[in-house]
Amino acid sequence: MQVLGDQRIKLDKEDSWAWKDKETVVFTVKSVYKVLKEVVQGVERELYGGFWRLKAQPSSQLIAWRVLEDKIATKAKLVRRGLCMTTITCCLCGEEEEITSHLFYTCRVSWLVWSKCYEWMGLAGIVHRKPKKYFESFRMSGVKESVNEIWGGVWIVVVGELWFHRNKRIFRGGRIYHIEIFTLTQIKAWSWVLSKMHGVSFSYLDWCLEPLICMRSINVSRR
Amino acid sequence: MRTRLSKGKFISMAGRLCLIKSVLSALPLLFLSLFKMSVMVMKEIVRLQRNFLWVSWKKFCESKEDGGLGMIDLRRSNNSLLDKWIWRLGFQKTGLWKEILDSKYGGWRDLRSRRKSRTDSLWWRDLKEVWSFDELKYKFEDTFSWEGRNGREIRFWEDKWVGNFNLKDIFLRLFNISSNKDSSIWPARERSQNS
Repeated sequence: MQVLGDQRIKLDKEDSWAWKDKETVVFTVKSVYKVLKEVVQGVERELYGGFWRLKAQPSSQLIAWRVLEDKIATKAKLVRRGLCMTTITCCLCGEEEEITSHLFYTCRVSWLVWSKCYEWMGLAGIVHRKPKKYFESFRMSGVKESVNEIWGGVWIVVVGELWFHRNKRIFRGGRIYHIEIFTLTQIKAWSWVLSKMHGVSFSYLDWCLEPLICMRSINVSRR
Repeated sequence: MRTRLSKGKFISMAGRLCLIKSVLSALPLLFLSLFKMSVMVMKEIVRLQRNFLWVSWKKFCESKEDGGLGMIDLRRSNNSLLDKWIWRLGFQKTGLWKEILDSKYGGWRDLRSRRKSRTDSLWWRDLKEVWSFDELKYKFEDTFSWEGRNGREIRFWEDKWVGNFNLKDIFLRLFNISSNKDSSIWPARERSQNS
């Protein structure tokens, strides 16, 4: 009887089912779908929470995702999968083995691109060997969320550009100039911010000269 | 669809992902909202999806916030779409379709009892399987609670109206000597007040 003790009975209301999910209150197919999914730890959530909202082109975004997950087909990866490569040295600098962390961060050439970015923003750069750590440390502290949303987009564009240029070098030959990569980054990041965000009122020149002021000038309205 | 997929060789990975989402997982949705997909069909669709984009399956179906690509897991979506019918069967008070099912099978409680009957329609059998989706130790009954409570609907012994258990399991001996096993709360309450 103790179990039943605190059960209240309301005479005026018919018995009915109530959905337990606090977020939706009513039954939705989506909330069942969530129940059916296994629960994953919240560690990744901080990293990826806003990742797909960042302002960059989708193809670069997917490349950046593959870099973060270490799923990108670098030469070292291809060799491990049993492909015969004539050389496994990095095609940007030609010095070290081409693994993900080298190609995108510690390589001489890509580091020049990154430091150009930092210089452009007026920041001091740090480099991490681990992609995820690096992406996290790339965020600026003490600024509006919208600024980081654009700045994170720049990160994606840089990664994408590095990958495109690396492929171009392999399949079509030619030389790699870090200034070229950096300038293309600036242009692409600018054009994606322009097309994906509302209320953009700066020119490309402003963007190149005073990036921080430009980023601050945008108010992100969440849908 | 075949021609489109063969052209896919030249699409970027992001394009492929988008194409899969809009074609391979959206096409069967209408069908899945009413019928349970056979395992063979599901395997075939998953095979098509995986041939088209080479990513680990776990990452493939993880939501984007959790570091995956946010693909729809067809089996889960199938189950949750069918759950909608169960929900409407229990939640709605009126409707011809519901009345017919109520009179033929005795309503949603028949889904819970694992009795299989030859007169069950195929669709009803599907719903029975969905009610206890064994793969993930998920029971539909755990997703809702009872509210309102004048006690006319709720069955005293079987339904989980107190906490997250039914009284039948806890007070097994009492249940065995109970004279009215199918009783709803209402008469049980009347009697306890009279005595």
